[in-house]
Amino acid sequence: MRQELIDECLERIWVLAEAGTVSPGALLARHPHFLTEENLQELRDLELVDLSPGQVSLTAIGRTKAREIVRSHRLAERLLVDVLGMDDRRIEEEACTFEHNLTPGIVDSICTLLGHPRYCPHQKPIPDGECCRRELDSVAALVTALSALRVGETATVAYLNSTNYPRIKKLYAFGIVPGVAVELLQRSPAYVLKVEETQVAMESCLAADIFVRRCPNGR
Amino acid sequence: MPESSRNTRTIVLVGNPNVGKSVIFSQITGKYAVVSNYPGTTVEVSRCHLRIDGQPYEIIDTPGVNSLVPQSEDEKVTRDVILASRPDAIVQIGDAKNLRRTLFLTLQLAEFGIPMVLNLNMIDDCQARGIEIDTAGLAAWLGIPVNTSIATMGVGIHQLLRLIPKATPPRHPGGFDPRLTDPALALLPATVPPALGVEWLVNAEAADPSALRALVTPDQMARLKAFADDLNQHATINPRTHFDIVRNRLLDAWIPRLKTQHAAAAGGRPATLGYRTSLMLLGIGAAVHLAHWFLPLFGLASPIQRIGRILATLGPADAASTGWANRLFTSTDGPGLLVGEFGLLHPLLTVTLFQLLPVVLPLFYLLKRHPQFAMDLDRQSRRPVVGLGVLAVCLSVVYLFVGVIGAQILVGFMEDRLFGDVLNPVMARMIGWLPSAFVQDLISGSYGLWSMGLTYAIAIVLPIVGAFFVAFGFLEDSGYLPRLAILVNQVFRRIGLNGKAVLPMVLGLGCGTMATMTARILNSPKERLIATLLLALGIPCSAQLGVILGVVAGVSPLVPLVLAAVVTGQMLLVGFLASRILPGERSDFVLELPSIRYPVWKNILTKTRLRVVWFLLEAVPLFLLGTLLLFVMDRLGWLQGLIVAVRPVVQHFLGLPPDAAQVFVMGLIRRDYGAVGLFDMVQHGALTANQLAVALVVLTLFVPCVANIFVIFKEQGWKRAAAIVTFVIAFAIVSGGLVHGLLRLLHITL
Repeated sequence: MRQELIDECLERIWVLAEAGTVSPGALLARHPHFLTEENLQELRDLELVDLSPGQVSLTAIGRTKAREIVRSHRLAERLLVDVLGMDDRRIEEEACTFEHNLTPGIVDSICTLLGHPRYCPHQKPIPDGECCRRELDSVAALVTALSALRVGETATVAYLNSTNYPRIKKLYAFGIVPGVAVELLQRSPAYVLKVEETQVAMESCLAADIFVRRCPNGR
Repeated sequence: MPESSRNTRTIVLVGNPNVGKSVIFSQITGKYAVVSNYPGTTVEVSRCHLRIDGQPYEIIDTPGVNSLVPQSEDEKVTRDVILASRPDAIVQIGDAKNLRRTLFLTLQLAEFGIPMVLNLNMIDDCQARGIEIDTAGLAAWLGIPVNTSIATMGVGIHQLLRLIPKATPPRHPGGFDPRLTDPALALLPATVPPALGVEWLVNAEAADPSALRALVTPDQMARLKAFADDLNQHATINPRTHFDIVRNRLLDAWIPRLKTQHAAAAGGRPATLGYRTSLMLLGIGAAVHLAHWFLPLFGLASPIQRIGRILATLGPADAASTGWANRLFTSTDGPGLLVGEFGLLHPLLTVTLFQLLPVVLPLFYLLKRHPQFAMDLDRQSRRPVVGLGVLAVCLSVVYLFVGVIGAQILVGFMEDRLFGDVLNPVMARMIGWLPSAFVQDLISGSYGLWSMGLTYAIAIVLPIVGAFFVAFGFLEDSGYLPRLAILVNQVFRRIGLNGKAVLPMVLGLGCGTMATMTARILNSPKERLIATLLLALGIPCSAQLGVILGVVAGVSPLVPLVLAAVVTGQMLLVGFLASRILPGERSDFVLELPSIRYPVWKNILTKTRLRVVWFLLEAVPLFLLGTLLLFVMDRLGWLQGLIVAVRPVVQHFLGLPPDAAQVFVMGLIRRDYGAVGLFDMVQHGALTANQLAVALVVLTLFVPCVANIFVIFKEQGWKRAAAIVTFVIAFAIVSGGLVHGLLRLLHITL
């Protein structure tokens, strides 16, 4: 059995397990192409799954592996949607090719870059990684929501985290585009940003869509 | 087509909001567009003709746009003007210091293939911030002439005029899919900018592709759709934002080559002693100013009241004395030199100035002399706590200027001296020559065009509204209003509006009719409707406010409090419900904040003049129409009929004397016509304080005036206008009934 196929099987089992317990019948009915009886036996031989009557569950090793795969898949989705601006209905395939080729180090880099997102674009949970746990008590993320900036801090716009296109285009036209430096001047009663030499005021729901990359030395 | 108009070349001025387009338009044409320091105030397109080197040109000014993929009504206007007029040249006005925003628009405009000139305005501001722009490099990159200007000072305008005939088609910026401009594919006709064409199509919900449909064949439309779908198949392209990203990539590459940032020349200077002293004076001035309102609440006399008392003692000690002392000090009756109506020290004016000047003088001095102050005020006025303090001082200053200097001193002069002493006697003599009693009555009867309509419009409303326009012009031009928008946004979002609506709402305190027209700057139809409704329901214009305040003066201070609380509460309630019930969306609040600056007096005067002319030409005729309506109704006996018809409601539902019916019927024409009737009733002791409160609640929530209703018809269509008017009248009466019921139920006597 190829590694890629094993990964694929483990991922499907994880996804189904998120929705409840997994019976072998449901598993085979849902993915008849690769989750065959034989493949499941093989996975058991590799000590990745437990097959008890009427229930399929991942072993400890299986869980760890599946977790990594799902994590890189969903982070890849975020990357494609948030940074490359792709339609979230079209990213499934691309994300699948990502998940097999990313080393854990790169996955953590992407996660940090994106500000440790907790949900994929389809609102499924992204399993946390080593980087997320460390982030809790160490350095600030590279990409954060604008609201996480201190007043007076300067940062570079990373992406606009929204599918509200009129809103995105409005912000673009004010010069709030990826790659541009913004300074947070005020948070309340409305957010005020300095973009180039202009002050732009906006309410918090717009500011929440702006994700920025912190500049380590302030400039 | 006549020879001259065939030769006329059309020029369109395009630019981001608040970059000085309207100032430049007025400089090159000599005609004044309404100039302001508030983004988005050119709501209509102005046109003007002029000659450059003997060649006739038509110049069109357009509303400011941030993008040609429109997100609001006024942005749509600009795009459609370019598409419809196919101008011979586009002159883009940009803010020099905001090069990215300027060039983002330039790249969109360049797609039209129309000859262009780029004018970078406010270049002084740019230099003050240590930014240097390589205009020659910019011109070479874009392939068009580039000019710099300081429009408010008239610098660079002549050069711009000379460059207009030299406009050249810009180089195609490139970077797009080559299929867009491939002649073999012929996706689009040459008149349609290729990438923008796709963007209008895929951003249909805001960009309204009907303008596009008018220009392309159905066949081309189908091919364009197929192309957009093909782009969408691409793993890394979202056609909605793709072209913006491409444009920004171009700018990322070019802006660092064109713009150099030096250490800023100004700013960051240590505060000098003079600055700190003036700041302290301003603080003391503001404290004295506000103390005048608050100290009397604690039974204390404010410094200004003391001055007033001293002035009063300077009056004539003895009316019979005719010596020099009396000439010098006489108060209201004679022509005193110091105190008195035409004296140097008009008592009311002097007291008002004593309250105004301690704030206004240091403020103007600081704004003009210390750039640091503009920056400090800029920062402070948008913050919640200090911002509210600044707002309180602003409101109080505006009130003194409009409510006292305008509504009392100026109106007193116009009404008593100009009309009472000069014009009315002349009119009376002329009317005496008229043969028919009917015509005499039409002109000077109780509902006469002169005696009621014109006297009222010119002697009372005009001075108040004029004073308001000056004060409003100051707030507008100094750049303060957008800060106010930030402060009120949280409240306004609850009533379905966003902070931007502060402009029509504040203007509504001056003239509701003009404010209803200004509601056009709001982005969504729902916001325009709610703003129109609230303006009609509860915002009295300054003239009406003046009369209402006049009525409550001298009765229990609880009456105005109840009135203000009920009217504000009802407006919030109606706004809240309207935001829930009406279909549609509120738009996001994003607003550019222009820098606070010392206002340009010429701009303020120009704006005030334009607004006063507008008032005389548009509103005064409607006053006369309303008066005529009253006259006709009176003659036909309908007025009496209407009064009799509403009498039971007034008497039983509102608990008022039956005579008050007349007040409300008059109030249908204008709130203040009715309020004058109330004033008489109060004078004769015909109303208790409770009854006055009820009557004023109804009258304030009533339909504003005939002119305003007419504009609502024009802006919203007759169905909505009829609905608004019906609702407002019914709501006013019900509210009055509730106040009456509550006061009686709780045994409250005001």
